[in-house]
Amino acid sequence: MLYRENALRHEPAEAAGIAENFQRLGVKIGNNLFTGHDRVSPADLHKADLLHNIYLGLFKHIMEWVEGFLKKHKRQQALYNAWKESPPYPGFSVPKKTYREITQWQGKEMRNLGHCISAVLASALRIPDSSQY
Amino acid sequence: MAQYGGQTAGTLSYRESYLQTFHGTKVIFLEFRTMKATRAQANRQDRELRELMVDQRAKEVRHGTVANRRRLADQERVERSDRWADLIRRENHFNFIKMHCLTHFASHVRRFGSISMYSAEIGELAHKDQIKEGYRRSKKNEAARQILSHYGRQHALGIRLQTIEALSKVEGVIVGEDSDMEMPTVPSRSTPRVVLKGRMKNTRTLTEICTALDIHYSNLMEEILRFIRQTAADERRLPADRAELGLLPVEGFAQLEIRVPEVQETDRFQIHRARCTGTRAFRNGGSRNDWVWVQTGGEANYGDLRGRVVARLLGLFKIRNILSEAAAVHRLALVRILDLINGGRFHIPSGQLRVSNRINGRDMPIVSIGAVIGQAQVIPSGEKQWIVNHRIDLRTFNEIY
Repeated sequence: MLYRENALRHEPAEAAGIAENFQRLGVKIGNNLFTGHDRVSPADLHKADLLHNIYLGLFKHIMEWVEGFLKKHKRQQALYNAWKESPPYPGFSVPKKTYREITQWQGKEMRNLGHCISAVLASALRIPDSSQY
Repeated sequence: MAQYGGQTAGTLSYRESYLQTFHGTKVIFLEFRTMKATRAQANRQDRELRELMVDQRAKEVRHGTVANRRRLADQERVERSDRWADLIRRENHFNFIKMHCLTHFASHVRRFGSISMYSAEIGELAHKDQIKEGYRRSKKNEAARQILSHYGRQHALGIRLQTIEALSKVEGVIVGEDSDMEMPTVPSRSTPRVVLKGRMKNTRTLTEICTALDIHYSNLMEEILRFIRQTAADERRLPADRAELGLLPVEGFAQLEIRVPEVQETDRFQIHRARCTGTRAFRNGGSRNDWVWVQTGGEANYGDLRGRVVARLLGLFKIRNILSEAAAVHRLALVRILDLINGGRFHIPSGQLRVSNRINGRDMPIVSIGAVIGQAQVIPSGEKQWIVNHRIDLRTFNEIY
């Protein structure tokens, strides 16, 4: 069902409730470029995007948090060392630069890091001292 | 989980449970999720507090000792730090759009199909292959039409090649394109799963192999004899006499090509190229002796690894038994096997599998190359210990859990 047809299904009172709810959340309701076109459903246009949502989006955020966490516990260098020593594997490029030398992370590099981050992080966090439990 | 080419109700439910675990544990990182505005606000608050403290101190009569003044300064510093941390903790949150988008992934898969189908990566790569490459090959004058025809041509040829490949896979029968006739062909031999590649120079005898691999001759001979004793006593078997064995022709190789079935596919394979250069350099770098999985036991052995062990490839060679009538060729791999920590079971707190150098017993056996089932990735973790990266690809993730 198209977005416009879908929207018309709501009763005015119900629509007002929805608008109020969004206002409370701080979300502004407006019409975008695709609103009102025949056979176009703006609500269906958005698709989950692996590249920008996961690899260059959320994963980049997670790496910042992980770096902050390791910096606090003085384990940053251990992560860099373990990552640099990752052996080759089909579909995985062995890092040529150290972690800090890479200034611009591209989708492929992020995906590469995503494949090994769990094991690399476990290696960096090995043998915690008494203050790190 | 989002990488699966095809999603089922099972994979979606796994995805949901992993997401729940993530949301349940993400609070560990809350203190590191500080936005610029929050950091600026915290700095402003800290500056104001410091100024306030300086003013208060100036108003007070200075009659304390040096130790008292130092204690007071320490207290102020601790208070400022606490206030700063309180504000950061209060203001930090995970309420941002990319985090919210994750909740829609399952419904998107149900409505539109696998996520990887509509990843922007495909569009970005297409821009390079279809537009930029097309423009590069054009006359740079009225390039639009040339770009379109270039890609059309490339695409048609690609489809044509795929059709030929698919037809050739139909064993013994090739269907003529313009007629309904079916043409019988010579039955093709099935492709071997594991193949030796990259013949090494000057490795025609066991002595030369030992020199190339930097292994003592008697050690290698001992391992070969042990391998022979384990094989069936038929005419293909290698001679168990050291002198006879030393005379047999040998060839050393630097690469093992393994066909590994792709996950969720029945007729597509990924080629793993495990390198083993011994002491020789690989492409102007250091020597390369890759990690591999070796199947040495049944499904019930070695805990979660189900009969497989991690090993480093030390040498690849084939040896022909010219002393027997069958003149059988044996393709062998010398490997260094690692021990499994915790009996090959996952370490529950970290969710990782660990392996270490073998302390007792033989760690350098010879196996048939058929026992090598694929490449492995292990990450160094301390002195002579490694962590098995079971999340390196979907296949390993599905086989080891």
